[in-house]
Amino acid sequence: MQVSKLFEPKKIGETSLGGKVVSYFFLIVWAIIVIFPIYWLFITSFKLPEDVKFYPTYLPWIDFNPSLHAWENILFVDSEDTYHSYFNSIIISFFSTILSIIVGSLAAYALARIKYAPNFRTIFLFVMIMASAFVIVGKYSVDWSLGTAVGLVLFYFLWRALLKTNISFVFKSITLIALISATCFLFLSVSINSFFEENGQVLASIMLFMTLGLGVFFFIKGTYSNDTYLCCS
Amino acid sequence: MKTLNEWIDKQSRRLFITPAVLLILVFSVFPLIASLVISFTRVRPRAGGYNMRFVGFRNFKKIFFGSEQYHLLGTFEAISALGWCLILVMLSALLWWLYSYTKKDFKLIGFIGRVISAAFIFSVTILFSVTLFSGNNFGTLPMTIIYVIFGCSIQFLIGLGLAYICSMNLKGRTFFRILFFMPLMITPVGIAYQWRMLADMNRGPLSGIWQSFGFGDLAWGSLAWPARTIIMIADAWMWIPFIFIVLVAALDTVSKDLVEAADVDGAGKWLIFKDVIWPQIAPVAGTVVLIRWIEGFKLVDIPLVMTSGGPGISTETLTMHSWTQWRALDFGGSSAVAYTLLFVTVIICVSFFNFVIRKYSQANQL
Repeated sequence: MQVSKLFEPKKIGETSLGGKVVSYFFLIVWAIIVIFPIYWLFITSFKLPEDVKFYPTYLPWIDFNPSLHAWENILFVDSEDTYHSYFNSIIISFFSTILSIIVGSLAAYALARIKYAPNFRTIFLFVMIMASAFVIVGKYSVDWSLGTAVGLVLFYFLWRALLKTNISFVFKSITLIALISATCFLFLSVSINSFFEENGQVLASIMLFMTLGLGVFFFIKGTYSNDTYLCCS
Repeated sequence: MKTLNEWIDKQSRRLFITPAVLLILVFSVFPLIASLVISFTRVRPRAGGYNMRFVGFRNFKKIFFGSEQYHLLGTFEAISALGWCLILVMLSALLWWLYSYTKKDFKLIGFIGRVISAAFIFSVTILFSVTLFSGNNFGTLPMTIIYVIFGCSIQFLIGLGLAYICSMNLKGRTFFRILFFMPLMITPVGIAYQWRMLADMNRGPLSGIWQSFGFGDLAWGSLAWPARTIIMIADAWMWIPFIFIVLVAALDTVSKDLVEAADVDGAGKWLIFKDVIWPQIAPVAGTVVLIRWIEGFKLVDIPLVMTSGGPGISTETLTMHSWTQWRALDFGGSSAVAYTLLFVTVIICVSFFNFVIRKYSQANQL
């Protein structure tokens, strides 16, 4: 039999004998590369320190006597540490999965069914307000949550006042009052910083998240287009 | 109750998307802006808070031209003849590329994009010429690029070969597919410790082989290139399964009719692969390389556990550099390194997407 015949398949779509030999060779080599480290990890967990310390030992009961001391150690002796970290992992993976499924599926459904038109002026305003809040926090050492909350309230009112044309007189005056009082509030809080250090943390955090939620909620309200409707009954 | 439902119905389009927008704004957009601001400031922790001082571009100046230059870029001394050759070859190649673009359908935006990519590639070439090819030490930025370009290329070649073999009509290929997927399920820190054990030259399982080659006394952790090689091997062992599984899925969708027609026409295995199979899997292959590059720029766990950046800084990646700066309470410098990483990643990945993947997809559609 000629060597070149080895690599000629008998039928179309079949692999030749030589091709099979070469393929299985590579497959088995890579299988060993994949399995051996995992095998080594596994048997090392049954080794005593002296089996690891001097020279490599490969086979249980021949090279070394397997012992369960490492497993005993993590399952019974130091069990609290082990269970604690396992518990943390389970909690994190479980809740992050739930959260991402809820948020992601809501957003994916909405993005697929409804048209949203992002308004770049609004995003620019948001970024500018965020930057100024950062400067206030960094430079004048205002409490960060307070600065953010005030910044977001400012963002909301400025956005209503600057970028919306059909707003009422009442709303305009509210915006003005809010702007003025927010500015005063900021300067005041710089001077009575110690008061807020005592009491303001919790209040400011609640305020931050409420205003953040409300601001985003109304930010989107202004930007969707009217030509599609969601079918719900 | 009815009015509440009606209200929810009316607001549903906002209610659906508000959580996602909120999460993105708070955990993605805000940190991005905040770290940009921090990279232009000097942050000093103090009792109960921190002081921030605006310093302009001084953080960037420090890592690119100042006292931290050796850490990010490397040590520059005389450029060798090899370095000069590489610079000249690359310069002429890039100029030719730009010139040939002006000959074809010329668009200003496309030209500007190509100029930016060419300038970036040229500066990376200069960086490598003055450090690696002139025998000088190099820093974390060239190291990361070597990990990404060199490491991912090898991973792609091995993954493609295995996927090609597993897509053939062989017995037991499902078993091998499942087996080859296994390393992806192990945690990266576990893989790093496992390779520390395996690479031990005195007590590891391969120590017999090392000692027969006369490397028994070699401590790989104390030499730059052996340490880099072993980190690349560990990274490859971990990520080849990912490339493999994606390419197997792509190879399964290759139409059998075309392959058989080429076979009947007498095309060899290599010609069938080159002209029939590769054009069909090229978009997927390009995408998987892109994903691996983006992942590769974020490599931190394996070098951190295996060598913690040593010997010296020779196995440190950009992410790890940023982390060590942060640990040293140099928040501004840390953000500057992080923004350098962002800049490099965006330029490389956008260039790759525009000039390689898109070209293949368009060729496929025609």
